[in-house]
Amino acid sequence: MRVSYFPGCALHGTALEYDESTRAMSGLLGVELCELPDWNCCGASSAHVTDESLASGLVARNLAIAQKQGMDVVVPCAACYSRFKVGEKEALAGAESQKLNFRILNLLEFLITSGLRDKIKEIKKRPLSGLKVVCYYGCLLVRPPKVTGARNYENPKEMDELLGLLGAEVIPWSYKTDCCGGSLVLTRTDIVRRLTQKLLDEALEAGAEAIAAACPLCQSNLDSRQEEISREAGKRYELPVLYFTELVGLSLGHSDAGKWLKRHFVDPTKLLASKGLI
Amino acid sequence: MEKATGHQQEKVEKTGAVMIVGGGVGGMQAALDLANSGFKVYLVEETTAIGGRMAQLDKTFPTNDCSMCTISPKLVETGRHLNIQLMMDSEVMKVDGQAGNFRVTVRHKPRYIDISKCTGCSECAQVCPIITPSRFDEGMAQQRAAYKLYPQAVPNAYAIEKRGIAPCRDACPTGQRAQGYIALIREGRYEDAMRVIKEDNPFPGICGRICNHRCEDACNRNLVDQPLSVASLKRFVTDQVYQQSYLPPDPLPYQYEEKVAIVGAGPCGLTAAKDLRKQGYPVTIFEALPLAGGMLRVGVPDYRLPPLIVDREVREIIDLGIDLRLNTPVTNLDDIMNEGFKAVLIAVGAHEGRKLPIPGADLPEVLINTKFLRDVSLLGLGIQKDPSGSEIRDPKSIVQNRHVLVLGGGNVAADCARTAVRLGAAKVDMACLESRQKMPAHPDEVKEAEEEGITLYNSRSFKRVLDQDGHVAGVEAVKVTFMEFDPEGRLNLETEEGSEHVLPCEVMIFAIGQRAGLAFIPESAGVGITRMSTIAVNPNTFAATRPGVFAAGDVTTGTAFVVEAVASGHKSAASIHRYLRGEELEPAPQPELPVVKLTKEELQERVASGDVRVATRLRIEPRPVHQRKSSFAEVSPGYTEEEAKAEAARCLACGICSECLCCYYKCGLGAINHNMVETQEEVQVGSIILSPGYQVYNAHLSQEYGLGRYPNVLNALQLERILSASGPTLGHVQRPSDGRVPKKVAFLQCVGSRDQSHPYCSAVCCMYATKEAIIAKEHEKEVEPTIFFIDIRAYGKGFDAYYERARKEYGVRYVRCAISRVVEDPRTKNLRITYIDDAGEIKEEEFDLVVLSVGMVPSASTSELAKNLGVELDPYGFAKTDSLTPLATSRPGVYVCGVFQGPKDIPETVAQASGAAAAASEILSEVRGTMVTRKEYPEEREVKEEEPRIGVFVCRCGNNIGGVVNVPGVKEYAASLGNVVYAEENLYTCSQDTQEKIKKAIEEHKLNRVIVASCSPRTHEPLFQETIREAGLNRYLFEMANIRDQCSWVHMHQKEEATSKARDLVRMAVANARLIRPLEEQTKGVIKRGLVIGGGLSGMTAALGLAEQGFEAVLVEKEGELGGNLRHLKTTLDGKDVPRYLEEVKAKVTRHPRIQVFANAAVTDFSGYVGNFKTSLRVGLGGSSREIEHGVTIVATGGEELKPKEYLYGEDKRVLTQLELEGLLDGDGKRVEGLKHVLMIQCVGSRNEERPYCSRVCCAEAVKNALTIKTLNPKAQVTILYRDMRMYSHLEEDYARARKAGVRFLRYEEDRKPQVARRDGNLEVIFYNPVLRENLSYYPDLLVLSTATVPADTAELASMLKVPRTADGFFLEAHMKLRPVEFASEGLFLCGVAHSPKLIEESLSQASAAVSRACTILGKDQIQVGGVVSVVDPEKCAACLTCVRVCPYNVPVINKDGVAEIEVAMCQGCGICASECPGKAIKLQHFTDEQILAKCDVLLEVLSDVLQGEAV
Repeated sequence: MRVSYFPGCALHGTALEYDESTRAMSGLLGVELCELPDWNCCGASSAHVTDESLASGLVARNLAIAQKQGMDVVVPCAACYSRFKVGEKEALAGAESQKLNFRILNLLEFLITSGLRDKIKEIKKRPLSGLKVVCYYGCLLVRPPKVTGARNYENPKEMDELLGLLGAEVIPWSYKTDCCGGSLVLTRTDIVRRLTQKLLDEALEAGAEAIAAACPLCQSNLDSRQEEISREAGKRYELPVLYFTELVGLSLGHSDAGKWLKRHFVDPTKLLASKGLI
Repeated sequence: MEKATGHQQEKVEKTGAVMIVGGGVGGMQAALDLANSGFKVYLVEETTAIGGRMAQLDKTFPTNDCSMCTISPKLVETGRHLNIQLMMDSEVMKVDGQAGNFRVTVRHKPRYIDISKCTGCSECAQVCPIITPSRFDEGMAQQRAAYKLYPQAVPNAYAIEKRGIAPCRDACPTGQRAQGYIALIREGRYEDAMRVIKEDNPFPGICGRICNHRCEDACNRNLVDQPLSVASLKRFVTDQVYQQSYLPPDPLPYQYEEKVAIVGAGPCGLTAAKDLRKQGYPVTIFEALPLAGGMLRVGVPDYRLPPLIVDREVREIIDLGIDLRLNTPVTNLDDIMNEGFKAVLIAVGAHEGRKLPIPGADLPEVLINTKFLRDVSLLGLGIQKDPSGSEIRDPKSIVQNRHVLVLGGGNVAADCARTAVRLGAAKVDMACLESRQKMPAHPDEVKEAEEEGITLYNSRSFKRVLDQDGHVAGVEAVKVTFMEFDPEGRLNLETEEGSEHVLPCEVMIFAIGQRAGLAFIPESAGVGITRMSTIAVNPNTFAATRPGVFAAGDVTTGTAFVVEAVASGHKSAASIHRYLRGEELEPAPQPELPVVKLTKEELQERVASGDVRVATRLRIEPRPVHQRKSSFAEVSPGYTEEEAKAEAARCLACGICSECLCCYYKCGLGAINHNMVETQEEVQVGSIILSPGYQVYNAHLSQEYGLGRYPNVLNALQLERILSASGPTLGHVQRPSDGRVPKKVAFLQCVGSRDQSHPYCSAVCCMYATKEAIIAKEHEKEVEPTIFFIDIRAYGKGFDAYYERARKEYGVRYVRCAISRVVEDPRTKNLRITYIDDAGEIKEEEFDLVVLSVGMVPSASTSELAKNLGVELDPYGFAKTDSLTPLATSRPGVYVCGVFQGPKDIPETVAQASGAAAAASEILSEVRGTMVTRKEYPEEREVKEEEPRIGVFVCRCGNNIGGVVNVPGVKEYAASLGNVVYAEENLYTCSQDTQEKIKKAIEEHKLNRVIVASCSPRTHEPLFQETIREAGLNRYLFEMANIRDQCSWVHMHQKEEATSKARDLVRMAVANARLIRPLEEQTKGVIKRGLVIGGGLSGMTAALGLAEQGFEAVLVEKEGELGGNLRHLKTTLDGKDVPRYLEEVKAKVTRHPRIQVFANAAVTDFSGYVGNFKTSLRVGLGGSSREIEHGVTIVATGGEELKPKEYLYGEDKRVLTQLELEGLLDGDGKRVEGLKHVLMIQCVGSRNEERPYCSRVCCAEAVKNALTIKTLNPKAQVTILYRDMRMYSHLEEDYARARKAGVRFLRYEEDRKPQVARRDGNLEVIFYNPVLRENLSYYPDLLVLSTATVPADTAELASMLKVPRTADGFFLEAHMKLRPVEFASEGLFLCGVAHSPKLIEESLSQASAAVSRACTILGKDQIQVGGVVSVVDPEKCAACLTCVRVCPYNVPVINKDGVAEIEVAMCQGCGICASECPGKAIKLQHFTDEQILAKCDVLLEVLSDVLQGEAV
């Protein structure tokens, strides 16, 4: 199976392990990810708050490239995904209403709608048994539902089901889509710390040993802020935050898994080793 | 009388019947009104019982009456009414015709229980193994598939919930009710499970082992995790049951003479033999082998199917009385026919194995599958010769220590291979044409074969067997690249060139299929054979080409599975039966049920709600390979009991009812019929009323609140069930997660109301949340309720007082904040809510339980209903109506009431229902009484002079009483009591046939008193009274002893004591029965004229209604002009022209020939009773007096707008009331043009200490006027200062419209009212705004006061009519919920603002309702009075006035003789006066002191005997 792939800037930079684990997982599943040639910024970081037409233009160009490729586009980054979906709406509503000849899918959607989830189950090597994890979707993956078309935008379940399928002990919690402060990451770090700490606290209270994430910004907020928060709170936070693709890759027994895990601020290796996963 | 109209009108032949759709409280009320005023009623209800939502509720606001207690009498009355025909489980499909004469097509869904036979004894539910979430308890409890909706349900009959055929059953050729026996396994009822299996399959032990179980492939559980292990569960049942030693069945009797011969004792022949024998035919089986069982016995190896199992199951059939002739090969079919058999079934199976026609196939080491396996089996039994008589060559000697190759990929091939392993072959291989995926052998079979060391060669074709010195040396094979059998069974094959290779072996077994041996059928026999060497049969009838000859099983189809043989055995037997009985040979078509295919979404929801738990199937580990390979012992050990129950519990019960027939066998009344089908019926009616009600908003859609996700979040209806004493927790307030009493309970208002998809207010939630908070607190003191709300809409009569009481007396906390989400504490399962408090601070608070106050949405079926009827709906699915015709739908002759018209509470629904009844009957007034049935009774027997001759009928109520109380003993005891001349016991005393028995007994034994010892008089007394009346006895000569509800049910585990108590109860009943006397009912005439007091909108509407119904009306108005408040209104919120409407109505009233209007008139005197009132009037300015005689009285005295004394009203002409503003807006549009700012203040004179009620209409009036201003002058600013915007129901949309139009709504607080002053010639309004938390000041051009509605001064009138008023001066109805338009005294009604403030459409509905209620009296020529009433002994009366004071109906008066007099026609028989009268001058007939004392005496007499006995 071949699909178009839009990694966006994060997956080429701060979230390299998200990119690598996504590619690794796809490889094992027999999916060829065809990176959009000459893609540009999706417009998520600053364009859409400063210049509406620039934001539209950036997405439109990416969509035009994808249209040429004519395959479903998989967008792992939640922010890029959101911009793409907005772009799709705009294209449809524009003067020359343009229907796209491909679907825009986030990774979880892709795995489910393509039936790959069953394949993952089939080829899993190591069950994630005993790993207590909460799934954190963040806001942009599902919201606003008018843009994403998500049905369960208050209580998404796709990641829970996927990791459950791989044997993880997925703990239900109420904060799957709460804000991590992503858009204030550079301007109001105080708010980001407060929101992130709340999420960490709730995950710990629920009994989680790790958080599984599906957005580079969420992951980096939750992972990298723990030290500052620890200093501020006077209590130690050390909760591994992993991309769900890393867990899938681990379970499918991909040989590169160790490499991805090294890129985290909070070291997950001790936890994963204790579960016999590495 | 024809109405004179300008244009030609076609005369419609009218029908005096009305159809009502929906059996909730509205439907019932309309039905009763219509039936009681002379119309036939068809009440169509889609569920199994009437009662609707109200039956589900616990208490009702604002009186906290028990909902069930209030509705129950209505249920009974509706259910028993002679002229109300209940159509349960039914839907309206189509309506043709026009108003006055509709033809309605009604669809009746099958209920599977005959209502006319069912007595509601519950035994079917007791034996039903299927558990399903209870709909009535909103999923909070479980019910059985056979169920009664709720204990008091009417009709008192069970129903079976059947969704369709479970896919497992559908997939099975024999239609095994797998879901049924699986449920029975879960319950540990193995004998029953066995019966269910044997219903369709006589070989459970066999099929439990070797069936290819297509049921499992079809199982819906596949969509969740893994299918049920159906086959293993079936085997488990046989393991359990066959543990017991075999008891041969009694041979069956013969019904018919025609002998049937069956050739072949395999599964097909045996199945057919059993069926035919059970039908009563003599059956003979001819079997060539020395033993019965066919392939099962000699074709399936023992390690898969132990012979003991086959033997037992075969024996069970033979022992029914079948002539089995073994070792009897049939050589010629004609021989059998000549022996006198009338029909022959050929079921010889397919026992002849085949070889491929390739070179070397005749070598001595080339074996054939069937012979190989048969030889192993026969030798195992010590049989040395095969059926042809030749010596068997021991297969073991051939394969032992040799390399064996089996050609074939089916189950038989695997059997041969695995048998060879067990016989000691050195190596065993299998080779076949098919690829691994396409191999016909079951995957488990292949897997186990491989485990046992067998090598598989797939996709090979075979050229020749290699011959080495006359012995097998191997097979030459080629690789297959493509293979397919065409529909004719021909093989299309492509092989790879040059792929020839050798599969070495020393012994080869062909296992490539079998066919029948048909040598015994020569061509001359006249039985056709197909090209495939099978017998040609008609696939529906199994008839061969020769009459009387049938064939079934493998012999007609080629090799198939056991289940197919069984299925064809059943079908061919049925066909033979039809043949022998000379019936049409083709089977009759069966009722078709859908196959239940659950969707992934539905299952996900069930998983989410906890109804289904994800769990893979319990695997049975086969015995270890090393054990297996050396023995023929069974491979699979089967489930243990614990495992089987756990596996059975995984069943999703797809079909709901599984047709296990447990109920059918249990029911002693023959009421169960699983073959019921849907039927249609056409009904002729004159008009139609729609009252399909509502369902609560599905709050699962508002995921932010977590219903279904967090266990401690409930919807309000679920809480109602929890609060209900008959609910899942018996009224104990418990939270679902841990059963703990919740301390802090949060109610979230407006869930599914006032939002983007439901822009209306659901009208009742504020009040029901308040009520639930109060009741929860009453049940458990520690509950601390908090209600999070937007506005408290306590707008109805007595609501505000109730709300205040909740706040002040019960400490219910109200927080004004709409909550955006609920989160859960994962450990405690408590719920956290974030809100903004009074101080504007964001707070997070934890609660133990969260209740979602879910709104109302139209019932799911209503859009379909509306479509079928051609009735228009609004965008949200409610019926489209307008404010001046609130009861009419868009289709003439079709009316509406209840929530379908718009969200509303119970009293408004009831009022609207009566109103709709009036509207529906108005167009049918000339055919009133033409379709009703009147019952004719025989003359009453005179028994006064007779000695009491008592008959006692003791009921077993199935097992309900009989299982606890010793009923025969009680019957004997009853017979021994004085005056009892006859006693008997019945299985169900209320069943139809028992009524006939009672009547016969009355006649035969000259009974003059009848006692039934059974259940509650509440439900059953009227039935038995009717029965004895039909037998010529006065209906009061009946007495009841409640030995069920008050005895066997409560003392279920104390059988002896219960029996003793039952005896006591019967003895008391007998003591009472000796003293009961026949009571006479008198008839009184009815004056067919109504008096209406008050000439406003309500009064005019009522008078007009009465007149249109064909009765005379007298309308009394105190002013000189009709119209009342309507004269001051110019428009409605939906834009109607009120003045024009008023003129129309006035014209109709004044011109109507049956209406007499008295203006400037007042009532001066009032007397009489229902049907016969006399009223004196003072009429006109001159004051002449008039006397009116009338049968009913309608009070419509109205009210008026308060002229306030505050806010500078009357001091500054810029300060107006709303009505004054409305006049201004209408009269002088120019005045509006110049306005810059209009400010309105709500609740002026309402909701304060002086008038603690809400005036209800002022919010709507303010919004209406604000919108008018905005329309006339969009620049003008309009500000409304309010406390709560009470824009209930559809008014909410107008509220939103006003906000959109720019009207400003600002809240003020009750204790910080706005201050109004004049400053520099301007009006200044200063008020504190709690949202901004600061004072605001405005300088409006106009200040408009929304002042209270105050009732007319009716003190004098109320005392003349002797009817009560509320503290606020409004008239008080008989019952807040169910009798909203009538007074407790009969014949007196009220409507309109006299009842409480209301809008035009509400007054219209109520006025029509009053007419409808009045017609139930005026529609009769005479009324029955008397019976159970109080009578005064004038000799004893001291005129102390006690009775006058205590009577709640104001009936007793001191007459001109100076003693109390109780008018028979008015007395309600409550008995309060009789019990209070100090002089014992009053007695209540049928409940005399003498009777009560006699009952007590006989009770205590025996007690004292006992005590004495102890003393001795």
